[in-house]
Amino acid sequence: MRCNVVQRRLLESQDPSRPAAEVLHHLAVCGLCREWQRRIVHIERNVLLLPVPESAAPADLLARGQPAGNGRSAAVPPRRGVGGARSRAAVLRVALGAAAAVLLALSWWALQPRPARPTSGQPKKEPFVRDPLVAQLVNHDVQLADAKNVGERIQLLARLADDLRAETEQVGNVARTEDLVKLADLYGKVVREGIVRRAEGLERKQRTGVLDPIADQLERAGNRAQQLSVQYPSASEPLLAMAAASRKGKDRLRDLIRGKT
Amino acid sequence: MVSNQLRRDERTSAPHPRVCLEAFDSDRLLDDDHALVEQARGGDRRAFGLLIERYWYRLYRWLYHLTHHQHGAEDLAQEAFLKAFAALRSFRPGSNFRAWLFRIAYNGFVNQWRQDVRVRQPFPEHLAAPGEGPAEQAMSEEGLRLLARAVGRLPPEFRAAFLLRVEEGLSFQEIGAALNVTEATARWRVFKARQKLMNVLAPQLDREKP
Repeated sequence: MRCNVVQRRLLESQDPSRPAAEVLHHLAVCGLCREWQRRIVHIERNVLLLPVPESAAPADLLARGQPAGNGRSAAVPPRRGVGGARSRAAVLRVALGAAAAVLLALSWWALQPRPARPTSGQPKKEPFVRDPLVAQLVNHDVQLADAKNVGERIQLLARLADDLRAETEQVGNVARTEDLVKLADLYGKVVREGIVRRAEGLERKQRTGVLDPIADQLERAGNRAQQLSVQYPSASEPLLAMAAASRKGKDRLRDLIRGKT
Repeated sequence: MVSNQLRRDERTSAPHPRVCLEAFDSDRLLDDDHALVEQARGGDRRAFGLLIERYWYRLYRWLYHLTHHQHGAEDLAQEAFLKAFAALRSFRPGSNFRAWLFRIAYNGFVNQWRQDVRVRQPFPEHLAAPGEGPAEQAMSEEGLRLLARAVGRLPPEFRAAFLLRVEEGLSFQEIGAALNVTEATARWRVFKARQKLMNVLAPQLDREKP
């Protein structure tokens, strides 16, 4: 095949990064056309990075999703109600599982060697709960245990993930890589061992309403971590780990929503 | 033409959900949509609310690239959802809800915006400076500006088709359905968009060549 034909085929293809076999054959031996392909793919991938001002669905539009006459404020986005003590107990397991994961992570964190302070005598060990991030996590744990309804737990879980993500974002360009690795690991534990594991025990009919917003949250967190891995190249490894944990968590929740075990 | 500056507190969003650069799982989304649409057709408004939450940002983002105007894009997106909600009974079960929704939105754009000279917002000031990461991952800030300008200068019908392909991962057939053209026309529009972008951006791509 001639170069001009191959280049045209790439422009016409559905996915230039996955060309047909005969095009691949040519690309294997032609550096010029490989560069052509690289450029098309590069352009398209960067289109996804073009910034756009934030926007969220307006409250009054979402309120149209409310059942008529339920008296809820239009400012509150609708969430599936959970009825019955048995259902509430099942949902509680999801939240408590997340709390357990936080405790597990905190225990793990507490066991990590803290850097000794240079003093003339014995290095004084700081109580780990003074660490502001850990203090936030302890607070989350307490709030989760006290949470009374589904909406509150979902918001707390979302805030927990957001706190970890925000912490990483704030320190991404100044923290040591090993500290970022610990943050990423902590985040992964909360997602895997807290949210996902307990979500697997949730009754099917509750899954969409409870898990859908968490899946969206994980998707956004993963996208943000992916973006930051480009912005902070020295921290790309832990940030990509966070992105991967978010994507896996999101995929698993979507599978559960669809009824796949 | 007066240019508006974005308010300093106006945040720039995260990139498109497809930015993870893995194959976008359209099939999963399609299955989920079918279930929610059926529930919504049966009168379950909460199901429709979930569809709004799922598609709001993606529809708005596409409309923003078409209009270059935040509030205009939001208005069009809201209008599209309201029309879709009102027309749910006419939606053919099993067909592509996403393409249908985008088609409603595109019709609104064509009717209201295409001929309209509106104030267009400049490239956001708060663009996060990309790091030095692998060249495949991100252009320089200057490169992204040029890309944004080049995409913005594509004829609207090319731009609409190109963005549906790149950002939404729609097939040419689905793009045709969304834009009310044949599959061949959809393919041609994407081809022309890519061709123009490659030509316009060639000097910048030469500079940024790894």
